[in-house]
Amino acid sequence: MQALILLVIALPFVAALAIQLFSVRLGRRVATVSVAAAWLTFLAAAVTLWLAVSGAPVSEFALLNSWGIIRFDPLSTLMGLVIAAISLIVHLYSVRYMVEEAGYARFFVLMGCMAGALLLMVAAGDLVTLLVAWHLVGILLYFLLGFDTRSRPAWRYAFWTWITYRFGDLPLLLAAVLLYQAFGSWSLEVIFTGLSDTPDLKTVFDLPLVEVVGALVAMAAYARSAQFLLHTWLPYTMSGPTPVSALMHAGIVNAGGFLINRFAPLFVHTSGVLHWVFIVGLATAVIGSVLMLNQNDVKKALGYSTMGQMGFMIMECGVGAFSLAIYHLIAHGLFKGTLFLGSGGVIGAARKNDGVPKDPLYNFVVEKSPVRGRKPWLLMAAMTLLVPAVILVFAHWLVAQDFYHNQGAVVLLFFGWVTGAQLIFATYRMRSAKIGRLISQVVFSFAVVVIGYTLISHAFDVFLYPDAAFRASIYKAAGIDVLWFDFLVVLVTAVIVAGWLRTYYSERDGRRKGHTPNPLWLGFYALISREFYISELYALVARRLETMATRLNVWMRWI
Amino acid sequence: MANLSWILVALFLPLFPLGIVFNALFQNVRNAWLRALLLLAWPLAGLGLLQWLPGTVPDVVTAWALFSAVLYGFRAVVVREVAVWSGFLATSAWALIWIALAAGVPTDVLILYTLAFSLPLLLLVLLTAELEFRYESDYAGVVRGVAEANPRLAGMLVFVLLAAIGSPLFPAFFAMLGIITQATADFPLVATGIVVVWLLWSWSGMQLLQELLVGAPPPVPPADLATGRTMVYVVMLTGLVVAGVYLAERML
Repeated sequence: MQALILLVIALPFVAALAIQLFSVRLGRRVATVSVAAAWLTFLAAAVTLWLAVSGAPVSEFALLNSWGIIRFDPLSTLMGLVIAAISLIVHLYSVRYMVEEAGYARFFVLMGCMAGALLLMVAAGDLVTLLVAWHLVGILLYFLLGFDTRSRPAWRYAFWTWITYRFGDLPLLLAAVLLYQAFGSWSLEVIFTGLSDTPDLKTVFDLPLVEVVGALVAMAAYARSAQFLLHTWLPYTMSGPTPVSALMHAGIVNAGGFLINRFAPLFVHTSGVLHWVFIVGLATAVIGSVLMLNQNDVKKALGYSTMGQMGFMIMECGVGAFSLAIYHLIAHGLFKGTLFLGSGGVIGAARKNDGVPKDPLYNFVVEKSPVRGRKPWLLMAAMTLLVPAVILVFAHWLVAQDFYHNQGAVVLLFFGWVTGAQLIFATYRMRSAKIGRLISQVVFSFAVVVIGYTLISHAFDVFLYPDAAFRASIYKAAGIDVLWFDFLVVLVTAVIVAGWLRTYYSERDGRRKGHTPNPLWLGFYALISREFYISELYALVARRLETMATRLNVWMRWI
Repeated sequence: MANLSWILVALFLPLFPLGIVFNALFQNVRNAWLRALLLLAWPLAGLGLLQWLPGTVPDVVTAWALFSAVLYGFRAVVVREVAVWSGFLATSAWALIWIALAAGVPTDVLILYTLAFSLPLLLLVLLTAELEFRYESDYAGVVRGVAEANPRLAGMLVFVLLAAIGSPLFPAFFAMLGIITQATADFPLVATGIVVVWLLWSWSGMQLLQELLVGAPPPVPPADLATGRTMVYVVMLTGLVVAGVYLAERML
């Protein structure tokens, strides 16, 4: 078992080293070595996951005395397989995609090291190893994004990524140090046992340890997963090679969700941190989605789409649905990886034929010309609101009859309901010869997606956190006062329904009266078209700091 | 006598403004080997003088050490001359030794910390000489496109700079982690300040690196680092990594 786990982590590093040493002799065959190692890593990772699913107990082994601990548990094996799979796909894709690039061997060396560092990160059983791997991922990503050594924009944005990642590394470092001070060990096992025995420990300035460390860990997750205010690097890092974008959006950016899951035994003892995690995730999801809709550059739109998805992932952690966040990151990783890797082919095909079908769906989605006034509206309104609710409640009832006791589940149910209602509402407005058939197909698809999603996420829940009491305690840690919760649910429902009504009436009136732009709306549009000026603000702060440093140096004569 | 001891130690483990002395000397010495010797001997002399210090390090000195480390780390952000940057980073790093000393770290571990900070800079000084030999300058505005012109030299610069700014698994990483760990118990705010220093190193180091590496190479690129010399650097860097991993337990 130990040898197998070590193999999973070591193989990519060994392949990278071999490529570096023998690249001249191997020539373009370096790709063969790298792909072979990626295949072997994938197979070994699959076996370790199979062992975990078969019920092999959680275990650890140390390569050094106080650190270098490698952990075998459901989370590490599941994430290991995900990383190995995505890495394999990206390796296979890169063989031909990168073949004409200078630095072919360097690319595979960096990719191998990145895969190894990510695998080490998820398998780390102590804080020092986790910090080492966490830090290495940032370094390797910097050099992968700056792969083209002539491209100054690529390096500029690689630097943005680097500095944001470093900004995120440091809270994790402080969290690690505080935990070490409290328990006298770097081992996660020792720390988590200590936390369950004495969760009320105090740390510096007599603050509660779990709250401080939880907040620091969350901050590290925010930076890595491009949460609002720490997101500016993500949409701009498109100058790197496409396989790197795929790996970044499909794997690396998800590390925040993994980190929060890794520290789940800490978060169950927190009382307020997860609420902030929820708020940050929600803000990121909304802002990322709004900015995505506003982009006219497809790549930046994809970047903001990832930001929105990362917001959802962090928000899921904030409501206590930790394992759902893992499922989300895997699903998003596969989906976004496919988009990136397919983008080259799509662009190539579009040059020959734009492939845009002049059909009702195109008119509806792209030209935004819905059919209006379809009847019977009352039936459709009822379906819009009730069908998603029935499907969602049924799907959740299938896996847990008492799901409505968990506020987190209710919040997610609510999001599902809003999405489903929006979907059916949109369908109703589509032009179709057989509206009945179209709606039944949409409802059926929605039901399949919801039930599938619920069942799979439940399976993840049971696999990652087999202890039902622990699962309940995560939801409890994320919960708020029932009265407040009910009030917020009613308030948000009212806001959303009001939004729907406003959209309906403004569209109807707008069509009647002609379009008269509201100055407030135009101001908001200007704000989002400049992405809230956040990048400009950071650039301004950086310039001011550099000017200050230059003045200091001149004043002190550069000595 | 006591005051003189403090001043002498603050000169060799430089606290602002005494760091000016070291940097002026370092920049005026043009020979790479002498510079390397200076990087090694200067802080060790400071450590040797520690025994003359009366009593423990006062809190004000700890705060002053953090200020010095932040100041030189911050000033390094806009430095584009590799030798000047090396001097600033050394001054910033050595100031942190005071904080470790105040946190009660024994002298043998302080020596490890000092070497962890100095040895990568020593290699950087030797590489700076290689740059000056080829480009007649070590200024990042003049030297550009090294990655394409001299891949071996660029590779060594990358690893040495990463070692200098405290990247894993180089010893400076464990030294920084060790100092922060030791400082957190007694001076949590100072520990947060050290974290900021580390961020400044990362900022300045990568800025300098990409200024040197990125861009079109000169029309007639100079000869790259010879294979034998590259191997020597590889061996030394590997030695640093091995030492980092091996000595990590003592430094943490």
